[in-house]
Amino acid sequence: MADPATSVLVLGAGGLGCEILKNLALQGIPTIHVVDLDTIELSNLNRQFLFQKQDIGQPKAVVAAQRINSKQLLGFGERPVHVTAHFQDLTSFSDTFLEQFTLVVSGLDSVAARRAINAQLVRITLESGFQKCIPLVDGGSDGLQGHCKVIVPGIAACYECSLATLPPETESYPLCTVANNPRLPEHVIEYLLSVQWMQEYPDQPFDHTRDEHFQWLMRRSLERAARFHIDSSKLTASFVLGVIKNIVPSVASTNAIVAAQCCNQVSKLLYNEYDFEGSNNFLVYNGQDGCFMYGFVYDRSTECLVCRENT
Amino acid sequence: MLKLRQLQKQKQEQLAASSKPTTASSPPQISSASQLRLRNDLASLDLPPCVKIDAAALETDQLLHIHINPDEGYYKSGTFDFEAKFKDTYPIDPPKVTLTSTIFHPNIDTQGNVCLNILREDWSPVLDVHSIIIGLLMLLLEPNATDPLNKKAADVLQSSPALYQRQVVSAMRGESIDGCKYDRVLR
Repeated sequence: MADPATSVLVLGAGGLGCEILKNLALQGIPTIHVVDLDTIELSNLNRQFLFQKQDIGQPKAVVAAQRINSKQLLGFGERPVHVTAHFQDLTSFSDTFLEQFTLVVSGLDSVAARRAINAQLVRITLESGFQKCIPLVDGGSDGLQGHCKVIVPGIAACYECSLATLPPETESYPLCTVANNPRLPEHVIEYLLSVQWMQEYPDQPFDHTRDEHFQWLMRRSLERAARFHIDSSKLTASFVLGVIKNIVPSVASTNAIVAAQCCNQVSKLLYNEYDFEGSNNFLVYNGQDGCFMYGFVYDRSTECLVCRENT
Repeated sequence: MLKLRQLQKQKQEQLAASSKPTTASSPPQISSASQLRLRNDLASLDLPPCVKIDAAALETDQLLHIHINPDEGYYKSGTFDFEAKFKDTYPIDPPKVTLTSTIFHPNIDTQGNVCLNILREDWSPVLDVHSIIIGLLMLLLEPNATDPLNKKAADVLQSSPALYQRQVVSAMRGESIDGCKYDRVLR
């Protein structure tokens, strides 16, 4: 049996976070903490199943914790499963706070947040001379694809070791195409945001949540599309918003599969089934072509700026 | 987590046994991963003599100034100050690079927007500050008239390189071309 003192920190209470929390709670982890700085929106409800319509506007972490706690589940050593919520930015956690956890599981949507927590956990291990070592299981979901990385600070590859393998976060187009030969509605929007707005309003940043800014973008997009004979039927408000917010469709089944993989790794770690020397620490999932999963060993980078030991 | 604890023990013993006790030389500095990467980029720079950088505002504003003084080509003897604005997502996302003066150039518009493939669609996290500087230098040494940002400049360069050279020099002197006033960048 796993140690009843086991405590797990979950980063993110969104699509992946809901799945991870559900899995960990059902596995009987007695102490779970969850952090998320977002509030619930209508568009989350199709996949973030811990939330309901009346929760819109509430902090995700708080509502997720309440829902799980209301189930009154029993964990290891007959201890009740309890989830504690943190409605805040994960980069503001102190080392002492993080050191109370056995391991950390993340279901985040930003590279910056992952880099921050990775750097902090690795630093804790290296500075303590391996007295402390908190593994990070990182899940990622993007459309029909996903990954799960097991990061054991100072022992296996850290998040930063594999940074060069990541694709760019936002799709971008050649500036010359965007400026002189736009062919797609996306080119039109890109030009307006990266060139035109700054010319017309050099003193204020574009803010899509402000109605007059968004109306400006819609109006100018249609004008520019017409000028370059681009089919403007795609240029609806929801399409334009999708382009500027760089929205990727979130697929509930991908989240479920990736979260299951992460929690599977958590179980292996907790029950001493994980082989730190030979286990495949990186796993990729591809649901695009059939249902494909592949695991491999990603080595530590000797050049890594975060986990390289200065000895 | 028994296995992990055993592994930690091994590591601790290795550390204790290593001849060098853990050097407390570098004080524990808490920097973001992007800052670490930027510092590393700058430390490994090998600049040609015509390029100078100014990193005074790097830690505070994530801003790097790149001064290029081409010693050959159309833009010989001009001084061009580029500004690279980095984000916390560097090196996943490239910095935004602009030229602070107006220039007559097919790939840089008069607002200072730079059209360089590695700064946008061909950016990759394996590229660094050095690759950006080399890219900007290339742009000044060999302006490219195909797929231009400033179409007028591209047309002149394509039809008459001699006329283009004369117009570039007068633009660098701070004169006007086709009603557009250029900044003086010659010493």
